[in-house]
Amino acid sequence: MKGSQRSSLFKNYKTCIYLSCYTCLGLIFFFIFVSTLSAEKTSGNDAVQYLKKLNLEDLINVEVMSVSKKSEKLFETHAAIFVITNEDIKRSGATNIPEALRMVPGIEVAKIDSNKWAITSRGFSGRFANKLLVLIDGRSVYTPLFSGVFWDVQDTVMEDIDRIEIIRGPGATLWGANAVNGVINIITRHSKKTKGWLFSGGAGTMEKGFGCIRYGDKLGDESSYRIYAKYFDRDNSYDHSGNHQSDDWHFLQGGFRIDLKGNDKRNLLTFQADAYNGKSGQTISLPKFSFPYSDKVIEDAKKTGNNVLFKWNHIISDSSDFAFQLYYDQIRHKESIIDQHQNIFDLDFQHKFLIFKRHEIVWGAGIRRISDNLRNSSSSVSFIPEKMDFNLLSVFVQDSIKLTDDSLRLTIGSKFEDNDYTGFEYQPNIRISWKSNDKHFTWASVARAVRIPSRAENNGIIYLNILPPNSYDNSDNLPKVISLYGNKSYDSEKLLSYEIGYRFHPVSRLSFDAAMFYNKYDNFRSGIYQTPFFKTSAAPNHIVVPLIVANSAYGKTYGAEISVDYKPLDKLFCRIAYSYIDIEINKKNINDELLSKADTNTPSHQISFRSSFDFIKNWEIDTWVRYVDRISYGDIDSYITFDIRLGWKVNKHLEIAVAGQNLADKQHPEYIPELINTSTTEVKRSVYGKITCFF
Amino acid sequence: MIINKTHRLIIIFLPFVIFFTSSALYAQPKSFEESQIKAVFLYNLTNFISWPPGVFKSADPYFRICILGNDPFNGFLDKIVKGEKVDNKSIKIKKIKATNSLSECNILFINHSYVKKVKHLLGPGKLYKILTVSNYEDFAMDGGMVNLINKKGRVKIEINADLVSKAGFVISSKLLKIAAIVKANDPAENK
Repeated sequence: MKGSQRSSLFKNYKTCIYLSCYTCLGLIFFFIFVSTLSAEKTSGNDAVQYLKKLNLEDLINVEVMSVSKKSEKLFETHAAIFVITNEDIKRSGATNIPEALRMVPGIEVAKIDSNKWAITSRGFSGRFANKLLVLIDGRSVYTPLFSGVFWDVQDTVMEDIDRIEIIRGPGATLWGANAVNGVINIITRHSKKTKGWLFSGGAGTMEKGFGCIRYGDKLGDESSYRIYAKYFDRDNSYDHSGNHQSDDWHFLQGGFRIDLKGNDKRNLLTFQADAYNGKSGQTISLPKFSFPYSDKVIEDAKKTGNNVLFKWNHIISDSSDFAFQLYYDQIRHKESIIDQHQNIFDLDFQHKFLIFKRHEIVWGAGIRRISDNLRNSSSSVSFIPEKMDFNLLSVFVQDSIKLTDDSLRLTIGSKFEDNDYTGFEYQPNIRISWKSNDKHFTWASVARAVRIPSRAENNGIIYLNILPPNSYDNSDNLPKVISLYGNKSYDSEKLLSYEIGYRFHPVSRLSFDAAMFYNKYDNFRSGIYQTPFFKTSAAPNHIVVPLIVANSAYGKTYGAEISVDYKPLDKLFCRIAYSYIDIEINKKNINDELLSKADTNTPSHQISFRSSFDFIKNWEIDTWVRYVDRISYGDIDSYITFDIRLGWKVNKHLEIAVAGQNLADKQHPEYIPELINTSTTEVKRSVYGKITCFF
Repeated sequence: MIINKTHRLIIIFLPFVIFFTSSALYAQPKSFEESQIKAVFLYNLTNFISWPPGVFKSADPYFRICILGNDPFNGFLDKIVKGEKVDNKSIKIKKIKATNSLSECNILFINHSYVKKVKHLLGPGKLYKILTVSNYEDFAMDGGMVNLINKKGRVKIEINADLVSKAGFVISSKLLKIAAIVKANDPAENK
């Protein structure tokens, strides 16, 4: 009785918190608009008075508020695009790529432990979130093995990242399979922009130490290069009761990039390579057939890898060019559950040209070959066969048509692929956009995208769980293992996506971007239970409950993302991002299982509020508040947290910064790992200091 | 604990609210939008250029600045010219869609996207006693008279002085001093 009262009281308090949260946000929005209106009004009239009084000599020296070509281009993109700039990364205080992605509307970022993240776009989160494609300088880092991205080996010098472009929604027509719910493009700077020495380093409570060196220079008149190395050491995190988990993370990476430009300025060559060596600590519970039915393994996952990329861009004329890209990517990740070697060879060609004045055609073709060798180091994860080659061929064509002079644009295109698992796939897209004037831009899109199976879904076997004999779930005398079996006839997941978007840019100090989507999924991944069988070959005897990967689910998601950029002062920039998503996945059969808890692993609401303020000359203060709604899978509570960064540009050679992250509470959980039982940890409050030198 | 949480919220959000309100009060931009600066330049042309004699003799009470194509000034030009006069005629902004009502314009501003459509109207002796102005890259070279363009974050003015004076306008030396004088691309020269 008392308990229920307390819980209802608690609920009321919770409602109060939500209410006050929304009120606060409402107030902020209200103030934004009121202040913008009044600021516009005064600055409008003030500007008239001020500018009219100027004489001609002064007038030609008045500074034009800069609206970069990039942001103009962004305004006219007919997709839900968001760009993190180099400056955004610096001002956010993010020390790695996943943390920087937290500012993006429609992207869910949750930290699982010190070196693992669950990152997804528009739903279906998880460490093995499989509907988001990630590229670094055109090289796909989506793992075809488990599907998803190993975020602990995706790194580069943060200062050398030019921008991160995030496109929510299907981008399959251009980018190919697995770009189902989004594409993240991490683009590093051209080496002509990274000349000279860069030293940066620092330390803090979570960041035990980090440092990087980069040097870049010219090569002749038009060419340039850079070379870098970086290292960091991150601390363990803690579980709910404050016991430290062995998830410390060490990472060393080095690489170079050379950009050559032919004397005729029509040929651009890029040659780049990276190599890394990392140790990602983890604690895994491995199922065991005898008491205590699980083995805790504390280990360092040893991760090494390297890649080389070559790109040739040839400009035929002002309106026509082609690009040819070749890369080779090799990884070796060794941990107790698996020892994986994987080599990817990829070749792409893309040609763009204008025809009939109004048509811009882009077409291309690609070939990718993945060879792997998965030595099964444990019984809990195995693959049959151990060695495999996988081929993917693709062709795409897209036509972008200007229907009226400047305002109406129609884009149609499709990608056609052939892969070894599911054969032929097509991924068409139609987009239309309307720019009524320089202030309003509206777009809409219908697209079909597919996610092709991963190696694990096709031919892997994963022990999910062991039920001890004579226990609550298992009345038999033998241990029961629930085992996920890959399925050779498992088909690709299909998506039909409807999107609309609107951008409003009333004045250069304020811009507004909204996108809404309705996604319909078919052939959605599920698991179907099969008749259990005895296994006597491997000692000790046990019962296997097979769960076979199947396409027996379907469903839909809908949602919206809004972001507002506001610059009330030349020295103050604020950005709000809000995301909402509703997920509904149904199983065709009640006994089927939704793998990775697909329908309940994503927060419905997310808010990010960032402000960057140059409060005194050469001093920067940045704040970042985030709200993430509860996740029902794992019963993760909603949380609010904030980061603060203080930066001081001592002179043009030296910058000093101090940043506090997740300051609102001592620690909070963000995600419970799925499929592979690594330990559950919480994100704790942390502080670090950093020094950056340029010469 | 719950009260703490609410407090925390207030503490977190309060600074932003203060930022916004204060910014509203102290918003004093040092840089201006390109279109605002161009609008002022456009107005200034009426002070530093004299129209050919006889143009203002008619009983028409207005001096008209016509805008062909989208209005790039977002109403800012209207604010600038409010209450201003040229030769005792009130300045009136007229947005025109077609080129058949040009005769009553004194200044014709052609938005950049529209320049290509009216190229046949530009050049010596074509538009009688109308000062043509645009914000299109090569306007002054392609037969236009005055061009307002953004060069390295500043608005610069280009004048095809030959064309302007041949049409009977007189440009003040102050304006000539700050302007870049441009010569028209002579089609005969290219042959």
